[in-house]
Amino acid sequence: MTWGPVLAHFLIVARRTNDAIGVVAVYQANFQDGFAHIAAARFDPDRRSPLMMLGLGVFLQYVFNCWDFRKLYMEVPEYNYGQLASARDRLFVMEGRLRQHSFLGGEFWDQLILAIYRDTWREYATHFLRAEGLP
Amino acid sequence: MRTGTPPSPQWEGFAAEIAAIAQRPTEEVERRLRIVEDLGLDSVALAELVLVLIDDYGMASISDDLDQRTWEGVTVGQLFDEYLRDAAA
Repeated sequence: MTWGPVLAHFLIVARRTNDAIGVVAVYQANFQDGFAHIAAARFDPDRRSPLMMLGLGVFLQYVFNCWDFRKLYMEVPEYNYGQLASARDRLFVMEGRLRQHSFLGGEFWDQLILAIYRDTWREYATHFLRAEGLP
Repeated sequence: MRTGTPPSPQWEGFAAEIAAIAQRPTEEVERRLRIVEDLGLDSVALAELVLVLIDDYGMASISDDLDQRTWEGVTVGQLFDEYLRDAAA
């Protein structure tokens, strides 16, 4: 991701500790066709935690509320896909695959292009945004 | 058979919630299973679990220490016991 076409970006922090969890951004917006790209990066990728996803959920709601995008694209390296796989076809659909796109750990990995549709998010968000006791 | 847990409406409902999030049959959810290592909950599923525990089960202990809480090695039984403690408090 380059920073030039960034529409908005935020730092995700834990409310109680103020620890930085990760960053999220929406970029390369195409208002004519109604889509944009989002990116999310967690600072501690080895820790299995729901905090980044909870923050990403708040961010998705913000993006869909602020702009009239039909869909958001998110590119995910295949080695990270396992952190999201359970939401396939419930939150996102896989719409593309760039084969052998990046090199890490001595091998090439595919880059997956996921799409989150406004209507899908609206339904899914009823789970994500209802909890009042989140830290 | 669910190891160490007498059948109860509370357990049945709790196990069903975990099973739905893990996308597994309810009868496969046992107390001894670890939610990350055995049931395979990824980050999205963990977030869904947290929201269910806080919102549907009223587990204040989850929201109180979510920032520091680690999920590796945590079993379904430990979460259920924590829910019972929260409910009794």
